[in-house]
Amino acid sequence: MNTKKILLCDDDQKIAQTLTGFFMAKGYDMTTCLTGEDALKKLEKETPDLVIMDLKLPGINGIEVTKKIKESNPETKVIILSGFSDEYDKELKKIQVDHVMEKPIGMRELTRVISDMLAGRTISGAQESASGTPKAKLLILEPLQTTATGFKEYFSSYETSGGEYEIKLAENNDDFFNKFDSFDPDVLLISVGADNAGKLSSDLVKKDTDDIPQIMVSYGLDIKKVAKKVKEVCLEKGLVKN
Amino acid sequence: MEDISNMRELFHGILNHFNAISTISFALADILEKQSHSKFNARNTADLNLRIENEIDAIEEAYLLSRGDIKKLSRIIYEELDLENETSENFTKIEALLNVIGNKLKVSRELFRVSGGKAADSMLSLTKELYSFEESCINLGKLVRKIKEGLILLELYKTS
Repeated sequence: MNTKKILLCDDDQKIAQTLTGFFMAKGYDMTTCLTGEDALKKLEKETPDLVIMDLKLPGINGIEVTKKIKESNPETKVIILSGFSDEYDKELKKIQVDHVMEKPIGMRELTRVISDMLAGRTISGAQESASGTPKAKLLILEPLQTTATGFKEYFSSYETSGGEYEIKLAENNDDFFNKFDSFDPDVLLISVGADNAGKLSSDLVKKDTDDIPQIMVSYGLDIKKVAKKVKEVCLEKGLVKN
Repeated sequence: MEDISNMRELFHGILNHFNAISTISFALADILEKQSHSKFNARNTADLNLRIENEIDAIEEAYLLSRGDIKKLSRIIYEELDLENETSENFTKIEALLNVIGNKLKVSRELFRVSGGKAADSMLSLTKELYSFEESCINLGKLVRKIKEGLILLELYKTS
């Protein structure tokens, strides 16, 4: 597998270290810079696939560095992390930036954006996977927050699930029914730990909908095993390709 | 007496502190969650313990700095700009969320101290706390932006 190169430029050393460690653990080849000057030096030697750029930097700011990146390597994607972009609003509009995120950033969101950009997918409101297949809509009822987060990350990630799922999480039965109506899911994954999981499943079958989604009850915490079963169901229904 | 020309720097600093809390918390929670799925061994437990201690220290430092900056900002807004009514609700919410984070930080330290990085239940609780820090900080960021938007509407932010 071709490892994607990311250059990160943030003058906050702690943040730079944390983000670098986090994305290295996700399998990306990370290069870290604390100043704009350092970033430009590194860019002379290597061409990253993506740059994560803080705006406010000592010396050359993020806008200037981004301009130079786009002049020399227009293919390189740039995500701007903005603490307070109003100082740079005008300049931001003049340069080519692929995505702007406001601090404090949500790490799940940043992970998803990076994964989508590197796979060439549209960032916001993307409903199509890389292969052009509509995403399978998966509604997960999981009261245990850490498990729910694990499921969401697994199914949202391009690396683990091919970016073929759109996920909504529900933490309790009321939340689940609200999202059921608004999200119109293809597959329901109900944790056995949810209140009255069995009754909930039978209530759903009685629900007056034209197209009843596939209902699955999750009995274990092994995300890979559960994901395999979900995938089998989605393949059978023609909701995913691979 | 605080100078209102510091407001821009204060806003910037506050959002950076919240960003530090949210980013570090999430990254640490992510590691703990992965760790809970793998077998512990003496070496990685020791490494992880050191990392948890360091990261919680970093979160606490950012938390204390953000508290200080929020106090300075609220003093400027209340005393120098005389805007109590317009912004007090958001500052109250910020104060409440900061208190939640402060209390949870104490709980996190206790969870870590008791478990020493080994008790699965404590680690799971710590993971949960760290994820909740991230969520709280994203909300804090939104509230700070609301205050800034309010100042722009009142055309007071320009003066900074």
